[in-house]
Amino acid sequence: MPGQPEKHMNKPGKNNKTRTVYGPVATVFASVNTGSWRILRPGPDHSRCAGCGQCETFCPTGVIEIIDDPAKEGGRGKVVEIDWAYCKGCGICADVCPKKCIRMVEEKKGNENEERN
Amino acid sequence: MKKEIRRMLDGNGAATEALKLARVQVISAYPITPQSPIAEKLSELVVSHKLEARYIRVESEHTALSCAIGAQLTGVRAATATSSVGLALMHEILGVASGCRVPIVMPVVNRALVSPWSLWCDHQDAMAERDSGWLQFYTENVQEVMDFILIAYNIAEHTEILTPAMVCLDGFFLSHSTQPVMTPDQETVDAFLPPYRSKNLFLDPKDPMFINNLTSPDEFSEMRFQQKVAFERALDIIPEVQNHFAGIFGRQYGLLEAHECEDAEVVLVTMGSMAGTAKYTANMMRKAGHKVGVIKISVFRPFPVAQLAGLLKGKKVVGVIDRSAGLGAQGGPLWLEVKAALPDNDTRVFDYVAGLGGRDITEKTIETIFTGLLQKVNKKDANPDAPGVCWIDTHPDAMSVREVIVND
Ligand code: SF4
Ligand code: SF4
Repeated sequence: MPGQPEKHMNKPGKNNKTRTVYGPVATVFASVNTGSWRILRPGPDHSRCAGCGQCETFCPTGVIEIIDDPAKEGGRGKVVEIDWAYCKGCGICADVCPKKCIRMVEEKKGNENEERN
Repeated sequence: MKKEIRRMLDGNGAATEALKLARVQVISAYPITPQSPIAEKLSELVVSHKLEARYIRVESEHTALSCAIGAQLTGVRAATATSSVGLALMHEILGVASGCRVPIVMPVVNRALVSPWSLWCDHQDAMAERDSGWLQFYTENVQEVMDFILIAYNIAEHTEILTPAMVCLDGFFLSHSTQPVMTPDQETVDAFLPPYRSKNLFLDPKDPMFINNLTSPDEFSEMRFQQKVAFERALDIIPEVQNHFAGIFGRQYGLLEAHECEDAEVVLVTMGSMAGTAKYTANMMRKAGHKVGVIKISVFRPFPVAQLAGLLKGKKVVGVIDRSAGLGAQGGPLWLEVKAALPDNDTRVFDYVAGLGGRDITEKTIETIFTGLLQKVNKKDANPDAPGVCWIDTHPDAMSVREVIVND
């Protein structure tokens, strides 16, 4: 299980002032590496991707970005870029893609998965 | 100078007017009988720009309260209202509002919980949420609906309280009953209720906070304790705010109200719209020479233990009407509180379950209760100490109300 991701304020701010608040709150942030949850990972077929952005809209962790690919369609082509540190492998992007160009593939293990951290 | 106008409003209308006067800026309500007119009237006010607010259309009460919490955390008053199973569907989120100390004020139009399906008045919906960490106010009439909502904002948002509040009004008996109501003007309410500021937790991209994070056993009790302290402080702060309100608006309220209790031989503890009938019946019985009194509990959470114990000191026989069944318990929820508030073993406290699922609590029902209580004082009761709850208005043929044809 990942450690508790957020910490209650444990260091004073710039001007060394603190205040007491009631209830559960954290002001020091450290995100859990949700990428470690993946069992399947999205494998986009960039050649068929239309760059429509549906996957970007629906990804619950917000880790997809549609970027320009100068090597595609004479420079006008788009491909998806996924932040593997946080993609949790839920498969929603694959489900919503109108081109059905994202296939969920088994998460690779060991150093084959060089992008995993 | 306050300028009030006398208007004819039903309970839902008064609740809507009070939310408007509190200048709520986000509304996320899901309609449910008998609360629907609140959700509808608020939407009309938004469409006609009589209320500058955003109305979020939601698909459930669970979402209604979730949206209200998120909105209020950005620093505005957010409104929602519900009833019965709608309140039950909010159950999880009620704890988020109270635990995160988001001082939402929510009208709850009391209606029975399923099953049997019922659209009508019963306190079980609110009673099921009595430990949700919300303040609970119960109203007797439509004027109280208006006034208690305004008062509740002032209490809920107090820096030492920061606790959401339910203002309960009996379904149909209040929600759909039209009564004359003194409606304050906006300016006077603005002075009583200054603009809302999130003083504790808030959502602000410039000063980010992660609210409602996972909390370890090291701190959970402490955060609950903070809530407990708020409830204890509320017992002092509620009367202060009620006095402040009385100074401006001229209507004095309390944690509870005593009617003819001083010399009363027996006292009946009531809550909600039944209190009016009980006081009326007590007056009638006093004319006939019976020394009876009535207590109306206006604030159920926090429960005014000391105030109630003070009023009932030395009373031999006390009755309680519970408008919820309290199945499996030693008595209904109100009886449990009253009983626990009276350490004096000389006071016998009798519980009467009445008015379930919309049954009217009539003068006759109250009179029967008073007569029974007086007989207990005078030991004329054949079985004066009979334990258990008396279902005073339940038909004697309860076990056979349904007969079906045997298809064999
Ligand atoms: S698998 Fe889920 S988390 Fe990963 S990119 Fe697709 S939608 Fe986002
Ligand atoms: S939804 Fe499919 S086609 Fe659209 S951008 Fe994403 S991967 Fe490409």
